[in-house]
Amino acid sequence: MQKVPIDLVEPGMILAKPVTNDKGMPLCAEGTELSANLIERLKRMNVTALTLKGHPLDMGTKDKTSEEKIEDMKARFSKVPGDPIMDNLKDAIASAIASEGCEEEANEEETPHE
Amino acid sequence: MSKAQQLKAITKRIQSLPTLPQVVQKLTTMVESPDVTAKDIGKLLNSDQVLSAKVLKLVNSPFYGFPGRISSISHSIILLGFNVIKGVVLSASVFDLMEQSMVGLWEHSLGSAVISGTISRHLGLPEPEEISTGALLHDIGKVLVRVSLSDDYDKIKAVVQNKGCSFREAEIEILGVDHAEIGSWLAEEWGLPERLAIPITFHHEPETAPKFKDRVAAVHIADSIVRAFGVGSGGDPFVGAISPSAWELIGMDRVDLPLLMKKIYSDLEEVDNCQL
Repeated sequence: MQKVPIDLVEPGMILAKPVTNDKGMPLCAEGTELSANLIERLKRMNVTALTLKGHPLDMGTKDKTSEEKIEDMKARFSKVPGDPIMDNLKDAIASAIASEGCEEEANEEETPHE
Repeated sequence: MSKAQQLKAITKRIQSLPTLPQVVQKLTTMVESPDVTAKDIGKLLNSDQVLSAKVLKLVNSPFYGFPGRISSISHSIILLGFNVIKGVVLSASVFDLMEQSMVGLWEHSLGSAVISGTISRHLGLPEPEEISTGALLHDIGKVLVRVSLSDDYDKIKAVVQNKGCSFREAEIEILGVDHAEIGSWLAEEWGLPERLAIPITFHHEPETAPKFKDRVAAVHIADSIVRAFGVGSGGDPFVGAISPSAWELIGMDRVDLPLLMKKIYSDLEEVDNCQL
């Protein structure tokens, strides 16, 4: 799953989450394959970003691997070494980040590749 | 000089408060009146279209738990209550200020609001919406430091850079008081209710809060967790220590922490989406 600004979305990409307008009205269902026409229409409805299946875009720094994200996260705990609560929290967050990586792979297997 | 005197000296130097729209001033007086109705307040807010659009966007954001379902101002007042609406209106009015003044502070505040809301619902704390609103405003003192004491702000930034300490430690070194105390003063100037003002005042020292300890604890813990996830920035990159008594008070020691963090992690994804 990857969230992509609508300007970078290209036809053929597939929605991983439904799109709603700012009042919560559904505009487009999960699993829809986007066409140029549809992207244009969503833009006109002020949709700014879409959540897509797989990992269609390389967005540079934002696309860190789970391991890198966990390393970064652990570094932010540098002021509280050996604190039992903080260590617990750190481990729990690490497992949350790691499990996202796994789900993503599972999702990608479901995504038909062209 | 005592803390109180120092704070007084600082606030004396603050010539101009961040100005609030007239609507907010009126709202403040209105919510205190026992006769006021949701309809009256809705009317008032609707008179400022930019503000009411921002308010609607905020109440429909994921942390109030009604994502995308509130379509009118009066509906949101009935669902969320006057105190929450007041906090939301304040947040919406200071949003531009926050965005412009400190990079990442808005995301930090919104992230804290989402996390404290998730924690409160998970642990069954009363009035999670108000807790979220308190978290949304918890660093409001930093906005004031940035906007009204900008020379000192530059010095504080320099201290953070050179010493590698937290923003708050640097504030105490330069100003003698921290953003929580400045925020507390601002909350009073703005006439915020205690249930929002106390979390602002005590979010770094939750054990000393005179009441609403559970709310303060939730905001205090959310502040550390949002930093741990690296969402936004509160002025320095460090996760602060969580007070063990606050942790236990709301029962964080008894939850399935990895499960809760997973929930928070997916909620935070929505924060990216919420620019006013």
